[in-house]
Amino acid sequence: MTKQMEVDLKNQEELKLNLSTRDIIKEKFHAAMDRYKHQIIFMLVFFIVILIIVILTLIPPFNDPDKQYWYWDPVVEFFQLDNYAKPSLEHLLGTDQNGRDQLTRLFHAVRNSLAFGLFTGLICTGIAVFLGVIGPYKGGVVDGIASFITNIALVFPQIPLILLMSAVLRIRAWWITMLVIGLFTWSWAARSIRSQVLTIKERNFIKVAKMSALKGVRIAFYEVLPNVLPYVILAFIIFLGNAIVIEAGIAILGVGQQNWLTLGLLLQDALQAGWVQSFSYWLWIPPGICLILIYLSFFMVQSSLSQTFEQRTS
Amino acid sequence: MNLTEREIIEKEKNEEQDTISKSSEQSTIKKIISNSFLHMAIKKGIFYFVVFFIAISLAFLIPRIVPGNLLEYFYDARPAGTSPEAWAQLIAGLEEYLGLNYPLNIQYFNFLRDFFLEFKLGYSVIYDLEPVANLVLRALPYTMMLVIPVLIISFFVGNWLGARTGYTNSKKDKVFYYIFIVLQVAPFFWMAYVLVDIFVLKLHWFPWLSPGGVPNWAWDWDAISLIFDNFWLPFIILLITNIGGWATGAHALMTYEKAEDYITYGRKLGFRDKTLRKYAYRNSILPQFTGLNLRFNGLIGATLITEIIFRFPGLGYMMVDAFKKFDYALVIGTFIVTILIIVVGNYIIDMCYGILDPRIRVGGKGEA
Repeated sequence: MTKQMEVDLKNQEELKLNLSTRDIIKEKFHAAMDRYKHQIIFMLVFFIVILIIVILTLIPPFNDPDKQYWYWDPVVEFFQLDNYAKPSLEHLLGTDQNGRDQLTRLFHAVRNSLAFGLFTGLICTGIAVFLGVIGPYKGGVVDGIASFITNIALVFPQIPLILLMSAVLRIRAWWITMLVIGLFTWSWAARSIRSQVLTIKERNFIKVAKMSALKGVRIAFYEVLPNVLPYVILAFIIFLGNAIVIEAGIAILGVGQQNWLTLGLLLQDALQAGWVQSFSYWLWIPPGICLILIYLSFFMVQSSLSQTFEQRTS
Repeated sequence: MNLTEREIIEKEKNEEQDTISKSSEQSTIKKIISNSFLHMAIKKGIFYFVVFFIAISLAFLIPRIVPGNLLEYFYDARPAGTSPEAWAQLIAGLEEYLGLNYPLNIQYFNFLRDFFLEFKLGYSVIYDLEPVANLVLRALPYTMMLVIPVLIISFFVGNWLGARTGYTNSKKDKVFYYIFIVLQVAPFFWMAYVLVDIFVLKLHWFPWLSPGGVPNWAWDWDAISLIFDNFWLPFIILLITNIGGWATGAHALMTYEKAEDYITYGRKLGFRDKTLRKYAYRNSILPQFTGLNLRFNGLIGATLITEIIFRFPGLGYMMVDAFKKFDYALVIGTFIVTILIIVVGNYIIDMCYGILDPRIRVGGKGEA
C-alpha cells in the first residue's frame, strides 16, 4: 500500500462519516488560524479597539465632546473654567482652551474620522469599480472614454484641486468634503481593476456566460466582479486610510468640513489656538499618534491581505 | 512557385538585416532621438496639453457656477465713511475692470485668449490690482526650491537606503524597515508640529515665524540667510517623509530581486556581496521610476500644505491666503500655475523614463 492509497482511504472514510457543518467550520477555522494567525489576531484586535471606542462615545462620561469643565477657585471664591489642565486622573489627556476633556474629544474624533474614511472610501471604490469594470465590457467608445478619464485622473493634481474646490465652495458641510475627496482620489484603483478585468475576461467561464447570451453588464457585475473582489477590497482599505489623512490635511488649513469633529479638526486647533506654542503637548501629540496608528493598521491590513491573495492565486 | 516564394522571403530577410545593421551604425545621440522617441514625445505632449486644458477649464468654471458672486465679499466690506450708492458704483466699476459683467462664454473666451497669448491671469484684489501673473511668478521660486531638491534627493537616498536594508535584511535592517514604514505613514503636517516643538521652541535652532515674514528673493546676504532659516524645516519634513515612501518601495523590490537566479549564480561564482548588491540595485530601481509621476503629484500637494503650516511664501501659502481674503483671481492663478508645474514635471519625467527604458517608447506608439 502506497502513501497515496492511504490518503485516499482516509478521505473515503471521512466522506462516509458525514461530518456536521460545525465540525467543518471548526476545521476550516483551524486551517485558517494555522495559515493566517498573525493577520487574524491583528484584525480582531483592531476591530475590538474600534468597537470599544465607538461604544465609549455613546455612554457617559464620554458622550458629550462639548461639555465644559469648571473648578472651584478658593482665591476668588468663584467657579473657574478648567482650561489647559495638565493630564491627571480626572482628565487623562488634560483639557483644551475651552475646558473640554481631550480624551472625550479624541474618542469622538477617532470615531468620526473612521466614519468619514468609510464613506469616502465607498465613493472612491464605487467610481473605480464602475469605470474599471464597465470599460472592458462595453468596449469601443465606452472603453475609450473610461480609460481616457482614468488616464487623465491619474496625472491630475489631486490635492491642489481639493484645495481649490474646498476653498471655492464656501459651504463647510461634511458631505462636500467627502464628495470632493471622493471624486479626485480614485484613479489608480480604476486602472489596476481594469487590468485585472482584462485578464479575467479571457477565461473560459466568461466565454460560456457569453455563449449563453447573458447581457454584457450582467456578466461584468455578476461574473467578473466577484473574481476581482480581493483587489476591490484592497483598494477600499487604501482609500479608507488615505481619505482620513487627506481630510486631516485639508482640515488643518481651515478649508475642510466643520460639522464632524475629526482628528483633523483637533490638529487644526493646534495651529489656531496655539497649542504648539503654549507647550500643551498633551493636546496635540495624541491625535497625531492616533492618526499614525489608524493609517499604519490599514497599511498592515492591506499588505497582509495582498500577501494572502498572492498566495491564493499562485 | 515555391522557388519564387523562397526568394521573396530571403529578400525580405536580407532587407531586415540591412535595416538593422544601418540602425546600429547610427550614433548614440541619433538613436535616442529616433522616430519612436519623437512619436512618444508628441503623443505625450498632446495628452498633457489636454489634461492642462481640462484643468484650467475647471479652474475657470468652478468658481463661476457655484452660487454667489465672486465679489460678494466686497458688498459687505463697505468702509464706514462711504455711502452705499458710491460703494455699489465702485464695485460695478471693479466688475467691469475684471471683466465679470460679460456672459459666461465670452468670459471663457477672453480667459483663454488672455492666458495663452499674454499669460494674463487677471488682477489681484488684495494686492492693489497687481497682475496675478507677477505675484505668482514671485511665489513660484519658493515652491520650486522645496520641490526639486526634495524630489531628487529623496529619490536617490530613499532608494539607496531601502535597497541596502532590503538586500541584507538582518535584524538591524528590519528595525530600519519599520522606521521607514512609520515615516511613510506618519502625516507630515503632524511631523511638522513635532519638529517645530523640538527644534524651534525647545532648542531655538530656527526662528518661528520671523516678524517681517520671509523676504522676497534678493542678492543680499541678510535676505538669503533669512529665507534659508525658514527653508530648512519644511525641507526636512518633506525630505524624511518622502525618503520613507521611497525606501519601503525599494525594500520590497529588493527582496524580490534578491531571489532572482542571476544573484544566486553570481554568489556561486564568488562575487562579492557589494558587487551583487550594485547589480540588484540597478535592476530594482527601474520600476521605481514609474512611481515617480504619482510621487511628484503627491509631493506638490504635500508642499502646498507644508508651506501653509510654516508660512513659507510659496504657491500654497498664497492660495490659502488669497482664499481667506476672498481674492478668487489669485486663488485661480495659483491653482493654474500649480497645474502647469505638475503637467510640465510629469512630461519631463515621462521623457526621462522613455530615454532610460526603450520599451516604453514602443508602448508609447500604442496609447497615450
